Amino acid sequence: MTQFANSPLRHWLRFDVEETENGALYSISPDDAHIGNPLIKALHGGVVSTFLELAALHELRRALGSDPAGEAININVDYLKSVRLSPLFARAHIAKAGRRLAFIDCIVWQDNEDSPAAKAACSFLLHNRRCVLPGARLTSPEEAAPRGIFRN
Amino acid sequence: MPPWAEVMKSFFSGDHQLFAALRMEPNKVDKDGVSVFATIPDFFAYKDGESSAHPGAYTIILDTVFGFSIFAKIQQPKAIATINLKTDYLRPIEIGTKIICSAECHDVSGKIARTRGDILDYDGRPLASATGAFMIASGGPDFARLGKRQPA
Repeated sequence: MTQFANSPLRHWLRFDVEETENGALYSISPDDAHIGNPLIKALHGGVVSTFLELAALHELRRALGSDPAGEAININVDYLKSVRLSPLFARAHIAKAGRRLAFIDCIVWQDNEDSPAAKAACSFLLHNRRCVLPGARLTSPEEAAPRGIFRN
Repeated sequence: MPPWAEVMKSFFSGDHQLFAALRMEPNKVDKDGVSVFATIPDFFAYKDGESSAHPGAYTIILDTVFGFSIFAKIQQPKAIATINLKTDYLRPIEIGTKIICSAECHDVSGKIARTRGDILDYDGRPLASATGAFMIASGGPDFARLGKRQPA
């Protein structure tokens, strides 16, 4: 994920991470390129979803202490209110990070963390967590040669 | 041209930055379903120097085409808002890939519309599938306003 620091997607979203006493605080600074409904200048729901998933993935990296090799399985997003064209913040919570699967919940908000604008449940398939353990034996071709969206 | 079709034309005329970046172009539009071509833009590269796209591109395209499938179903460009969206990621995608997204609004009950759809590559392989629920007449201005605009 170190390559993400200079990635086009990070620049496009103006994605940022700040460590706070309550954990990582993720943010994006949207502009006209991210609008879904031009009549009310609301952020596109897919942009919100992308931000939620990035926050989830970074939270997983924080927990593992390394770049996770794996792929997103699915994402379920609830849109709680319209998102305006102003900075958006997110926090992520790992519900479970097992050997092969990770489940992460996220919320985003604009003005007040207690009034979320959207929430998401993300699930990821992890390919090589076992590989980092000393003496670990690969058990499948998939583990030996990870593929997928987030492969390293 | 009916008002809802004018809205689609307006969205795809190039005025809408996000849809222009995704090079979205309608392929089929009728009450039974909508299909739209799109191309995954460079800025969805998740890591610097890699060609894999972040799957957030799928959610942006699906959310958009779901909206148009509702306009086509109810034959009006009413204000709509996404309530929730569940997306399953089936295969990764490369930057610059041209895809086709098909969607149908299969149920409208009162103010709630339900949609389903998928994204395929040009070889017909499924890349993502999704279901969504939307609120019709969500309180925002009708999209018919956009259809009355002259393209820039």
